[in-house]
Amino acid sequence: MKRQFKQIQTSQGKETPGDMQSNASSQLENVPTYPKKNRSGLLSSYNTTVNNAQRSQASSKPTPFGSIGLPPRSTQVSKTEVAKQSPSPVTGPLFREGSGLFASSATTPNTQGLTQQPPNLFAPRHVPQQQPAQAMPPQTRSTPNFDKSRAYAEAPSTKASSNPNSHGLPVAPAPIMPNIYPNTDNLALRNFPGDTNPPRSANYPAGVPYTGFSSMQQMSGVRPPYAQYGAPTSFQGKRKRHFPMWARFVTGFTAFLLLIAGGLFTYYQAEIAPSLNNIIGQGAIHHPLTSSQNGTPVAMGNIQRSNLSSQNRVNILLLGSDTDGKNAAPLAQSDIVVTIDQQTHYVGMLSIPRDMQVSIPNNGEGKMDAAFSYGWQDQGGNNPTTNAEAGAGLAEDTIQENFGIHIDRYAWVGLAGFVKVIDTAGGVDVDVTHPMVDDDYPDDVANSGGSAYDYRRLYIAPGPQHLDGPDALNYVRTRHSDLIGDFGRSARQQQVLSALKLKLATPDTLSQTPQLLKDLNGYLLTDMQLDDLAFLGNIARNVDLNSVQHVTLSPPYSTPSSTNSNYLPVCSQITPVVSQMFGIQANCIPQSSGSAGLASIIPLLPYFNSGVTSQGATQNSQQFSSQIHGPNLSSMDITGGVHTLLDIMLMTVFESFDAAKV
Amino acid sequence: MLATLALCLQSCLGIGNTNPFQSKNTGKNGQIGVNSTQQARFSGKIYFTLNRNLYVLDGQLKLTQLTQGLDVRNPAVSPDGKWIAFASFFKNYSNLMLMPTSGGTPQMLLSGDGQYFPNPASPMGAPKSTFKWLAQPVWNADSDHLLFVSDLDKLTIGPCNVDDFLLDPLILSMSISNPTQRPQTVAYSTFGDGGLRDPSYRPGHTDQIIYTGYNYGPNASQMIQIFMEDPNAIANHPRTYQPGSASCESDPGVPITQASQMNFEPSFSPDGNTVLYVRREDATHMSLYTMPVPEGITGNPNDPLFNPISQQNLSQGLSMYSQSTNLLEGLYISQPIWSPDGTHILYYSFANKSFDIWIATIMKNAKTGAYILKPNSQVQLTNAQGQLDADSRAFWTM
Repeated sequence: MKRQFKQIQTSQGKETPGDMQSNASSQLENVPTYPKKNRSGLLSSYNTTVNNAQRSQASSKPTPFGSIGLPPRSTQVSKTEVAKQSPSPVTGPLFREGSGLFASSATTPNTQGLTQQPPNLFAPRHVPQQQPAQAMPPQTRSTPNFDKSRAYAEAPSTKASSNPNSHGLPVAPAPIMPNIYPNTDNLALRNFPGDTNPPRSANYPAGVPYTGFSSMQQMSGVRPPYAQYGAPTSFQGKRKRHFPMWARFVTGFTAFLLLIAGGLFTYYQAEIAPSLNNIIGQGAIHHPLTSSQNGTPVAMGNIQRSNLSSQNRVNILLLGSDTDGKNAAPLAQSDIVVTIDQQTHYVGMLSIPRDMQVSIPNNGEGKMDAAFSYGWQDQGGNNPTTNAEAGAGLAEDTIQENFGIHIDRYAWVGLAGFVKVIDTAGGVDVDVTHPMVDDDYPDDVANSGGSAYDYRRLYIAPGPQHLDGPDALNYVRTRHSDLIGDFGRSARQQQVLSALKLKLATPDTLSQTPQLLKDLNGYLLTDMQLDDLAFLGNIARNVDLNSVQHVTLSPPYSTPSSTNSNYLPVCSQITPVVSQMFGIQANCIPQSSGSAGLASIIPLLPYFNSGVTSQGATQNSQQFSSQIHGPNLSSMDITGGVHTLLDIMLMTVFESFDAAKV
Repeated sequence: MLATLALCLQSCLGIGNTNPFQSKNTGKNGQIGVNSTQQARFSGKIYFTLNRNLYVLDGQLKLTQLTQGLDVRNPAVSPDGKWIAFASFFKNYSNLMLMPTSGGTPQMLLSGDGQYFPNPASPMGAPKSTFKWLAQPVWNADSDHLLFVSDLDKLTIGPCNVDDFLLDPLILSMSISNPTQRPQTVAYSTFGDGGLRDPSYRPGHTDQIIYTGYNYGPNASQMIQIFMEDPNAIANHPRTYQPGSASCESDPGVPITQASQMNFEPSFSPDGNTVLYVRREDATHMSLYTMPVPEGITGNPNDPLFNPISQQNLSQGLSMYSQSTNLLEGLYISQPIWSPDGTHILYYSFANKSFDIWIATIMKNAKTGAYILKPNSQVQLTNAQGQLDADSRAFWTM
């Protein structure tokens, strides 16, 4: 959004198409000089009026509720500042980490904060009727019915102005008065060589018969624009060609480009921005931890965030859930931490089994998949986005607490999103290499009224066939259909990925982008920004898959509990491998077999206690905000970003980095 | 004006219309195209499924929908022409169904319905179930016995002490005149390898069947082979053969194709002397091959001690594989069958983002005696626009 703002601001204030014409057009001569206020020409008129209007709005008018426009940088209000002015619904010790600039208004539903935002600069461009009256030259404010823009548009300029204040834009001659007066016609204002009638001038004596002005004379007190300046000298000689061909071409081409740009921008705002804003740039709501000494809630402070590409070590948490959480708090069946060391080009994936027993802050000991669900439930609201942010925050905290791994970013994926993407692509056509038989396949997608722990049976016939979204998900997820375990599963995933990316690689991918984003909307949530996505996408596409270390904390890193279905961590095994993978001194909290409910209160780790002050948090927020303003948002950014979002989704669904490589 | 008029006239009269497909209404599911050119003419009736509904297309290109909302797969018409058998799938199970060829309400022949129940022995709490898969029914010449694929024997702990989800579908037979009698196990599969598929009786030889077996070989390599077997061998030799894991399973099936190549979906020619099958060339391309049927590999009435899986017999089973001849290769070529008179073959192929039915004229090479396709005889019969169920085999009857 801010990128868009910068782009538009630039086009209006710094590098207008008119400016690009200035050097060439300023070389022309024989241009009538008009007062500075009367700088004319379509573009200059437009810029003047729009900028004036915007300045006027910026100083007085609030942005309408729901507007996604952003203020000029000088008038921007940081997220933190807005939060100060209008407290977020997330109150108390809770805070929203990195609730980025793409956060939609839905996540900060506070009208007070919004009304304090500067005006929407993305408002459609309008004709200058909105221009304040005082900004108009008094000579042209002749009649309230006078459509100046129309008059300008119908009076193409023939020369470029030599007036430096005109920016060298093509300058219109005295505008031909359009037929806006009753009982008049445009012929009344003609003044061509050879005319025998008196020239158009305010000095023409009233009452003298003059057929050309007969109608005008009937309108006492109405004077044509520019009448006080008399007729331009250039019009007093022989008739010249009004508009050079090259100027027509440049003007037309510029208008065409503006039209295209406007269309693309409108398309982006209508079709892409709403979904994109709901997916990326979200936050992670961290819950208060309770000190082990006195039970006093302790705010963790903001976690310092910086652009992923500027960090040497990046840890991204991928959370995969069965449902979108519309009916119940979803579990996170997939908990994968991707770690990237930019210096050594090391990439690792740590899969934490959903059944691993961990210490969940403020929730005692439980399964890893429950951490996300508890966070969701603790938030307790009806907004799935906010609930997911809380779930992600608690999942991050849980991993930090239990393994000492700091999470920089997260992405939460609902498996139903994968189904939708496949269906949007029209399904995939694959050759099922052998019959897929599974009696204990998780029935956790589109299982209305059922339990997340339900099972279902699969029997997928072998041979070439078309798979729709649900079938494709079944095909790539089943684990019991191959004696060769994950090798066979990986092979199936590669099949589907190849088929899917083959379909998405078609020329109409760009046209599919909005629908793909809509498919992901509600099923994919991340605190990453487009810059982060570009970074991750680049890493994913260039990584050597053979060098990716994939560790799953299944046995021998864990051992089955003797009393329930949990797996208890074997710290002597986990600590070394996590330390090696993440370049840290890993933590590991031993778990007790058979524990249930709230267990011992988790002590705060130094990481949280050394939390940044609120001032620091503001600085970090501003710093982060300024960083993502950098590059302009282009269609390539969006398309690439969408593809990286798809890659993230596929990596989460397949629990493999291969998904982003195909 | 004249040009516009000419175009309108041309369009109205169909002059210059190169679209060979005649639009056919498929009910609520929309339309498909059926090739109406002379090259695509065929005799008899072709049964197939569109969007899991059963249709029949006759030689006059009349398309008739026979079922609605039953998730139908693999229809098969009895030799006497009275019945259509097919599988009807549900979320956790499938049923074997019968319906008259003249139309009418389908009747359930065998149900695979069941339920999940707790399995305390599972460390992960995975339950067991009594649901069953019943699929791919095919008729014996007597129009009474059916071969089908099923995991009906699951939950039966055999000598190999393996059950539950590791029991992949194998081949059984049943009589429609006595549907309550427990079906007879015809061929065993190796647990966990995918099971057996594509069974059929050899025409003129009711003591021989053919099917595809899915197994893993050394180094976890996928082995897909075509087998022949005496359907009564297991019943006639109790405690000789048993289902189970690769190291325990034993079955009288004799492979007739090499394990080094993936061959599947066999189909006997009407005279029973040739097998038409699919060979997987790569991830997306398949070929159609024919091979002569090896004789005498499933049993010897003169030798009561005949061992079908003796090394000598196994070698005999592979003896004809080298005589396989390639008919064609293409994208996702699959599900080949013969026309009742043996002059054509039907297969599925993939083009324009859609699976479709193709037919071709097949004949014997006058010099070699091997089957070949008549040049330029391959023709796309349907333009199903993605509605054809490629995992459901068609059936061609008189």
